Formats: sequence, structure tokens, C-alpha cells
Amino acid sequence: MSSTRSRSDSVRRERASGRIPFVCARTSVAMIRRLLALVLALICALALALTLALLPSQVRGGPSVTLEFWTISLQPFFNDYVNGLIAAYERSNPGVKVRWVDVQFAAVEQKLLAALAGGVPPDVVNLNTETTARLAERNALVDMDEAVPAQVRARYFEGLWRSGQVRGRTYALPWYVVPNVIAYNTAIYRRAGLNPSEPPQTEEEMIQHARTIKDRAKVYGFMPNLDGVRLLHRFQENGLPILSADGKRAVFNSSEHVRYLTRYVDLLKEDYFPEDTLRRGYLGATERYSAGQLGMLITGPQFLLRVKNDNPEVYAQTFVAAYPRGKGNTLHLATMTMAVPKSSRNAASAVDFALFVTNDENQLAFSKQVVVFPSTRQAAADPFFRRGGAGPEDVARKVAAADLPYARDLSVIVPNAGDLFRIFREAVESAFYGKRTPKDALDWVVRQWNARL
Amino acid sequence: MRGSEGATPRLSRWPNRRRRALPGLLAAALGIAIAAQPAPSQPWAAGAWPDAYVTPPRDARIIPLPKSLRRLDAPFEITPATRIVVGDAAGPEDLYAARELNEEIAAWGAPLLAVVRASAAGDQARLGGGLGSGGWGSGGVILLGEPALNPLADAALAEHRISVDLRDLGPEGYALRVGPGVVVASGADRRGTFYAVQTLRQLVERDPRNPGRLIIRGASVRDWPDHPIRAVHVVLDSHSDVFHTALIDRIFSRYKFNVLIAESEYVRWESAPNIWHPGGATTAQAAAVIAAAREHLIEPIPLIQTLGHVGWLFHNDQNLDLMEMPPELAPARFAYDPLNPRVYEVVLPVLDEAIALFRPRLLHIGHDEVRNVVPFPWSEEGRRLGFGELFVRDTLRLYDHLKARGVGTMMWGDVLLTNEFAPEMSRLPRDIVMVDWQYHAAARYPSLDRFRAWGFPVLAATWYRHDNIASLSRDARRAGVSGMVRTTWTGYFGNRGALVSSYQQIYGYLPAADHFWNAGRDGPSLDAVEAASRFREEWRAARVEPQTIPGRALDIRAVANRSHIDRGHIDGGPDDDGAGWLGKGPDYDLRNLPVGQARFAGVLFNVVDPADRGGRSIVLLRGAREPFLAMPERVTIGAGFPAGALCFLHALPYPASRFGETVATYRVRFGDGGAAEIPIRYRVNIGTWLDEPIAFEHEIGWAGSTRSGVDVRISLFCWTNPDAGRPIVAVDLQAAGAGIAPAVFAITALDRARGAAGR
Repeated sequence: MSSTRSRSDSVRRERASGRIPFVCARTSVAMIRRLLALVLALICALALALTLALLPSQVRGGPSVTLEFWTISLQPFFNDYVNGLIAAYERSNPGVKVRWVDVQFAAVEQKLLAALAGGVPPDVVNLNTETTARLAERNALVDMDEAVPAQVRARYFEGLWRSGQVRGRTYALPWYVVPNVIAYNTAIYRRAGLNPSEPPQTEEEMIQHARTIKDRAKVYGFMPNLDGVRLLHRFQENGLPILSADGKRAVFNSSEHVRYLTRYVDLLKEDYFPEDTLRRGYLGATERYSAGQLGMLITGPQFLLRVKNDNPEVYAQTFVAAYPRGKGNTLHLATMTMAVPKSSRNAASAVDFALFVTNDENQLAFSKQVVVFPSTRQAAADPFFRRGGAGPEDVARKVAAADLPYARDLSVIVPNAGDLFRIFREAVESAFYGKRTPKDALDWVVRQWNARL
Repeated sequence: MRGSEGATPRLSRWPNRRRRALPGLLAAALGIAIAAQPAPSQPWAAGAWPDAYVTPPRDARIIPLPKSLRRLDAPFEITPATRIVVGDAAGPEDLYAARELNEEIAAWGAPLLAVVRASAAGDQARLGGGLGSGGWGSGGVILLGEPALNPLADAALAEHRISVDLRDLGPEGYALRVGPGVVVASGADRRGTFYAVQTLRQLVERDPRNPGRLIIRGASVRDWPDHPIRAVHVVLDSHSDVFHTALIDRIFSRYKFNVLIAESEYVRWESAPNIWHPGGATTAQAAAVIAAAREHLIEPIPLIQTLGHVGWLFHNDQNLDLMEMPPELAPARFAYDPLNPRVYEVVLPVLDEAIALFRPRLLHIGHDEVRNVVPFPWSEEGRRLGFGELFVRDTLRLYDHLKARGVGTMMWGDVLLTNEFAPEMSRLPRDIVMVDWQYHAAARYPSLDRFRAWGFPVLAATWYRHDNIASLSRDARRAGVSGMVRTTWTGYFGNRGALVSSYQQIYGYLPAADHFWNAGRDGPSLDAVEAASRFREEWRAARVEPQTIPGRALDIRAVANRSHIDRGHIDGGPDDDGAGWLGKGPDYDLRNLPVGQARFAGVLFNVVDPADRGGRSIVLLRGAREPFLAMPERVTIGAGFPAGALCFLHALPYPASRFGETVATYRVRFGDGGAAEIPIRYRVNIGTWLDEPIAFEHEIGWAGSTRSGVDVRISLFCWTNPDAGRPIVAVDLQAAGAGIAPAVFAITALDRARGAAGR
């Protein structure tokens, strides 16, 4: 019963708005013959039924659409923001319900693959560019170049729109971008005899500070971002290429690449960063920093919230500065994307919701919650991003905004990326843990990549 | 198994068709089964082969490799009159060892042997003329037991001047001598005898010169383990009573593991029926695993995850009040709140039940990765106390509870390593056994030394990668830790499909067994192909009986459309077309694949020499990227004869997008108009040319390497024809439109299917 009533209500609304054809109205004046009237009535009913069938279900008020929306690591700190976003969308789209699922970064790809294989995909899913590429390769994502009109695409920065691109087609909407900054513990700096107002400007200076901190303050100075495939980003930040121009060969075993890796291998051997750096990545670094046991933290500014939660005292001692650049004078700009699996039963609605999440207004609102930057032009032009402030996050916003011209997404997009990245990680670990020399490790992994590219 | 010629770099213009296999004698001496045995190059063989399939030589290596092994020329012959002699005071372990030996002999199709006590056998020996090898009658004897418990074993050892002394060999050490008429398998302790028998089982075989005779190869062995604890970690589920009991029987005990860490939080504990999971093991199923372990001299240790990874506690939406983060905020149901006293009202009864069921010396309480998934601590009070305090409080609460019940505590060590700076950690009792999991390959593992320096007993835990296992075991030996653990992560309820979806983890038990027993070696003992093959043989629990099956090659020459060798763009000569294999150049092709008639895993194939066929030796089907776009979607290969089986030597050039995806259909057309369709599924019956064995049924035909040293492998898939009498007129190879399709190197028809044990 409720379904019938709802449908009638929606027809009334549609009539009022002029979207229902007027054939029916005309029949009321046809007094000529009863038979003709009956035929017309039948035509009317048929037209009405067809029109209803063609309308979106939420307009029809028929069975409601439920969109499953996956984000990465936004709970619990952004519950209010995301819930507000969903409520706003549901208000303006009656009949659409959004079910939010937050997934940990490390689990998202595996969980998504399982959901796709099980035929229960999310409708909208937050991914990074590498995972986007891997899934696009599997032909698992909606082609956004096709699904999104050109005038809507133009709202996004062109370069960021391309960050979800595989073989010339874009498979995800760019959402927010997060340039790294350096957070540092001023108390540790002072203990080490370093001046807190002179943070490292370059990677080389950061290494020197890390040595000084370890030698004098007796805690680790840093945990360099070398875990997983992040060495690939570091190479590029130092002007060292990963692939040949045609993308068919790996080239990261030159003497410069070897020298760069050797530098860090030696630092680990000399105990200038802890051995769990490669295993625990940013999580381990954030924990150690939060415990007041790490001098510098290279991080996306959003993780400062975790420091604040874990240890307000350390947070209070934290200063933030621009990311210390390598020789390439560029920095990796991690881009979060919003993708729609092809197998979504509500792909059109899902794209609509993904556009809503990534529109100017919502991205700007998100950027005001945490230090991230929008992927749309209008939102990024807001004066808010040029404003500074006293707290670490305010400073982070300002320095990160200043870094944006030097930032680009350095994610390496390769076919069969899961295997290639695993091989890369294992080879790099083997160099750090003394199983191979850096040269042997890079030579080996280049051969493995070349066989697979 | 790795082909003997696979790694040979090729310098000549075309592959040398005249290369030969290692001489058989050399191979036999090395105990290595040869997978690819190129026969002398011949023109295409159109006729039938009398030996299209010959059971490959058995991998005769003893795993774990004994510390001292001397082959003796003369074997011991097993006859129905052979007796197994145990000591008069033989305990259940010795009797079980005798039973295991009998099971081995039965697996070869021989009748069970009589098991007698030493006193009875000794009388007969004296009547027969003394303890020398001629004095045991025609059947010979197999003497089992420690010298002190079996005087006949003691006498036989003395005769050969073999000392079996606990002080010399150490716990679990043993000596074994196999000669004509007498076998003696004697341990320094009862476990040692049990392991001597496990080694003995691997020496049983058909006499190569007279397959009607069952023999034990002549050998003199002295052996002992490097690591006192050689554990396997598994996760119990509702298939454990079948899967894990079989693993215990066929793999774990046979390869000398001695501890089973059974992760058991999803067992359906009676104290908490509200959190039962349908995939969880019942207590009866868990009890079956425990009983099997004990019977095989494997000590079971329960593992119940606590503090973190405690999703089990919240299953069925139960106990949500115990979560560290409120459920409405938490991104995952991962950790409990150790400040909530009700936690222990739920958890401790589960531990008590586990103790009652396992009767363990130690209980593993998990405690790993506590902060990896959700912010911890979350509560205000928790944050005030700090993570270190919460972690230590919870550990002590559980430790004290276990200690009061006479049970020691074991836990994962990672939290200590990453929170060593927390002063509270110093309060942890030093008799907690720390399991230090390190899943990477390294020359040194400093964490082992740190745990030792802190005063904890330590076990070093690996995952399944061979280099990880070898290097950690070696360094653990250096660091003097208590032993090793091979962890298995196939999901909480993944045992049913583990042989398919996680096979690398499963056959990886074999190299782990070897390296846990022999910690000194760094290099591989069994490579992946060998381990997978050996595991398959053990799992089938039937010994290989030699088979010879006639057959013939299907002629693919007319439809071959690509070379498996890429000349690249090196010399610009007439052959420099750059169109071989994947077009990656001569460093990344399959030039080391033997051509001509060559035997792969026992099946004879005729691999086309591209030099003979204008550079066309294989069939590629259409895929979604270069160079496959230009290839045909379907090719047809004529046959014209009946066959009991068709064997395909094939590989995918690149991975398909998902496990089990159908990448092609091979359609077998019969003369009567009927047809059979064979789905070719990624990682089920075909892998890429770079894949290790990835599923139980995924057989590797040839393993070698590229000129640049990259390991490569070609899959072998034999389809059994359910109606072998019908003539086959043709085989269609049809791409499935999956984006990638197989490369087919050769096809051989066998008159009948290979026996399961023959694979």
C-alpha cells in the first residue's frame, strides 16, 4: 500500500512540474465516442506506465536506492562531516539512502576485490590512484570520461582529473589531495641543540638533522617514507625516473638510483632510523612521534589529528614546516579518488553521489575540517587556503598550499601492479636487511619488472 | 621440477636442439628428478610414441636433509616375512612409529609387517645363528627403539660401531642404518626414534632394477635438529578435523614438526555460544586435531587472540560494550577495552575451556598489532594511563590467570618491538614466550637479539616465502632462540579452499620443515616447483607406481603463429623481426625451453623449433593488448584418433584479472559430432609464464629461466577424456575474451589417463 501511495504522490508532483505528457488531459474532452475514449484511456495508462518506468526510482518514489559508500580511514575523526554529507544528499534525493562503510587503508583493496568477486560491490568507493589503476586494469570501474559531462569534468583541475587515468581514460573522480609536510618536536630539537625555527629545507638537511638528533638527543630523528613502494616516489622527487619514456622498461637501476638507495641502507645500518620503519610505515612513525620518541614526522597533515588524540603534550610541542625537497624539486601529491564499480547496481546514482561528494562546496567544507586540498578549481581558489594561523594544522595548511605548485601525483601506474609492487618491496627490503647489495636488488627487480611490464 | 638446462644461457643463433639431459646416472646420484628431458632432436614425429608418458623419477631426497647421510650400495628388501621389532618396554610412541612404518609399506601395496617385541625376536635370532645380518631369517628385521630399550637395536648398532647417545646427538637425534637383512632406527630419545622412522619411510621405494621388489635404500644416517621447537601455526575452522588432521599425518609429522599452534578463538566454546560463528570449529573438531597432533608427537598449543584482533568477541553483534572504541565510531571491531572488567568475564572462561581441551603447557594470547587498526587507547581514562600501561595490565591479567592454572603464556612480540620505549614494558614477566614474526628475508634479524637481551624465551616466526624461512631460521640459530614457527594465514575460515587459493602457503611447509631442522643453509632446499610437486605426492598418500602410456603428438605446426623466442632488435639481421614471444627482446623470452621431442613431467611433447618453421613455434590467441590483438580468436588442430587424455603445455603471457577466470576454452570434437569443452581457468589449470605453482592441481611442465635470469615456468594440464573410445577429430583452442589468452606450446594425446599417483 505504501508503495502505491508513494507512486501516486510522485505522479502528482511530476504532473505539477509539467514532466508528464498531457495526452491524458486531452481525453477528458473527447466526448465523441465511448470506444475511442476507452482506447485513449488505455493509451494514457500505457504512457503513464512507460513514463514512470523511465524516471529515476527516487523520483518515482518506488523502491528506494541504497548506495553503499566506502571511505578510507575517515572514522572516527570525520564522522560528523561524512554523516552530514550523506544527510544532505539524502535530503535532496528522496528515495536514495547512503550506507557508509569506512575501511582501513591497508584493507581496502583486498576487501574491495572480495566484494567484487562476491557480487556485492560498494556503489561508491574511495581509493588512491594506484588502487584505482589496478582496478581499472581489471575493467572493474565505470569510465568517468563517459559518465561525466564535459562541463562537469571541467570543474576539476585537469592534472588531477588525469590522476585516475589508465590508458587514456579516467576511471575515478579526483577527490582531495594531500601534500606531505614535516612535523617536528621542538623539545627534541632543543635537546639535540638544533634551532626549532630552522627546520630542514631539503632532504639532505633532514638527514643531517636526523643524525644530530640521534647522536645528541638519543631518540630517532626520523622514519623515512621508504616502506612499500614509497621509494619509487622518493626516486622521482630526486629527479630519478622509474620507467622508460614508452613505459615498457623499468629504468630505476642506474648508478644514481643505486647511490640514493645505498644512502638510506647505510643510515639504517648505522641505526639512524628504526628497523620497523619498513614494516610499519606511517603508522609506526605516527605512534613513535606521538610517544615523543621521534624528532621529525613526514606526514600528511591529516595525521596530526592522531598525534593530537594520542598525546596532546607532544602535539603542543609540534611545529610544522614545508616538506624537505629532494634534488628534483618536486614532491609527491597523493590523490584520493572516488570510483564507481562497474558492477554497481546503481551506477548512475552512484556517479551522481560521487559528484556530489567531490563538488566545490563539499570539498571546501572538508578542507576546513582537516588539512587537505580540493581537486576542484573553484574550491581551491577560496581565500581560506591562503590564511595562516597559530596551530600546527593552520601552519600545515599554509605551507602545504605554498608547496602545491611543486607537487604532482608520482604514483607509478603499471599493469599487473600488485605483483610488480610486491616484487619491488621485497627487493628493497632485501637491500635494507642485508640480503642483497642495493645494486643487486635494483638490478634484480628491474629484470623482474621488465619480464612483466 | 626445475629442468636441468633451464638456466643455461644461450649464445648461439637458435636454440641448440642437440642439448641433452644430464646423464641419468648423475641425476640419480644427485637424487634429483628431471622434469624436462630433451630427447635427441628429430623431425616431427607423426606416428605413435610407445612411451608418450613415463612416470618421472621420484624425488629421492630426504626432507629434512639429514646432518650426515651416507648411501650404502646394498638395500634392505621388504618381504612379507620381514618383522618390525620394538623394545620389550616400547611405549606408545615406538608402537606408533611402527604403525607409521607399516602404513608406509602398505601405501606401496605391500602387506603389513608383523610387529614383535625384542625378546621374542631375539630368541629367533639366536636360533638363526646370531645377531649378524644373516641371523634374522629370510625376511630380515627392522629394529626400532632407543638402545637402552631395545637390546637387539643396541647390538645391531654396536656391530656397526654406531653410537646413539643423548649427550652426543641431543634431544630428538637419531641414527639409522639400512643394510641387507637388518634395519636399525634408533633414537637418542623416543622422539628421536619416531623421527628415525620418518626418515626411514622416505627411503622406501620400488627396486629400480626389479620393480616387483619393495626395498629400503641402503643408507647410514646420523641426524639431529638445529631448532628444538619446530612449530606450525594454523587457524582452526569447521574443516580442520579433515584438513588439519590430514596435514598432521601426511606432512607435519612426516617432516618432523613437533608443535602445532592452533589459533582457536572461533572454536565454538561452550561458555560463549552467543558469539559462535557457523564457520568455526566445534570443540569436537578441535579435539580431533589435538588428538591427531598428540598421536604424532606434536604438541598442541592453543592461540586465543586477545586485546587486538578480537573481532571474534563481537561476532553476532555481541559484547559491543567491551569495545575500546564505541561501535558507532569504530571503523572496525578490533580491540577490547582492558579497563572494562566484564572483558575478563567473557575472555577468561574461553581460556579455561581452551586449557581443558588442549591441556597445554603454554597458551598463546595473541596481542599483536593492537594499535594498527583502530586508535588505541581511545577512552579518556585509557589515554591518561597510556598504551604501555594498558597493554601490560591486560597481559598481566591473562598471564596471572594462566599461571594459576599451571599454564605458561606465549604472545606475539611485535608490540614490544615498536613500543620498547614505553617504560611499562619492563614489567612483563620474563617467562613469557615471545613469538617474533618477521616475514622478510634478511641477513640479520636484530629483534631476536633484543628479545634475548630483554630476557624472554623467543620463537622466530616466518611466513611462507622460501628466502624468509631460510634466512630467519639461520639467524634464529645464531641468536640461540628456542625455535621456529611457520605461520599460515589463509583466513579465519579458509581451510576448505586452502589447497586452491593458498597453495603456496601450504606446500611451503616442506621447505620450512627442512630449514627448521637444518638452520645452517641459506640456499633453497626444495624450490617452489619441487615443493609443490612433492606436497602433491604426499597429500595423495599413494606412492608412485611406474607407468608407461603410449600416445602421440598433435601437430600444431599448421596453426603456429608466433615464435617463443624473440630475436629482438639486436643485430638487424634477417631474423631480427622483434616479433617473438612478447616482443621484449632476447633477454625475456623462452629460448631455454627445449625444442624437438622433450619430456616434461613425464609427458613427451614435440615442441616446434622456430628455426624449422619460419619463426613460428607456438599458438597465441587473441587478447586485449599487443601483440595479442592481431592473433586469432580460435584455431583448430586436427587429430584423427582416440585418446584417453590430452596434455597441454601452455602458459598465459600475462595474468588474468582474477583467480579462476576462464581465459580460454579448449573444445574437443569427436568423430560422432559430439564435443567436450574444457574451461581453462587462471590459477586453476594454467598460470602465467612467471608464476610459481599456485594451486594444488596446477602442474608445472617446465621450469627454467630467461637469458636475463628471470625464473619462468610453463604449465602442464592433462585433461581426462571421459569417453576414451571415441575418435577425436580436432581440438579447437578458443579465447574467452578475458583480455588475455593462453599460449599453447605443444599438445600430446595419451592413450589413457595418467594414474593419480603417477602425477
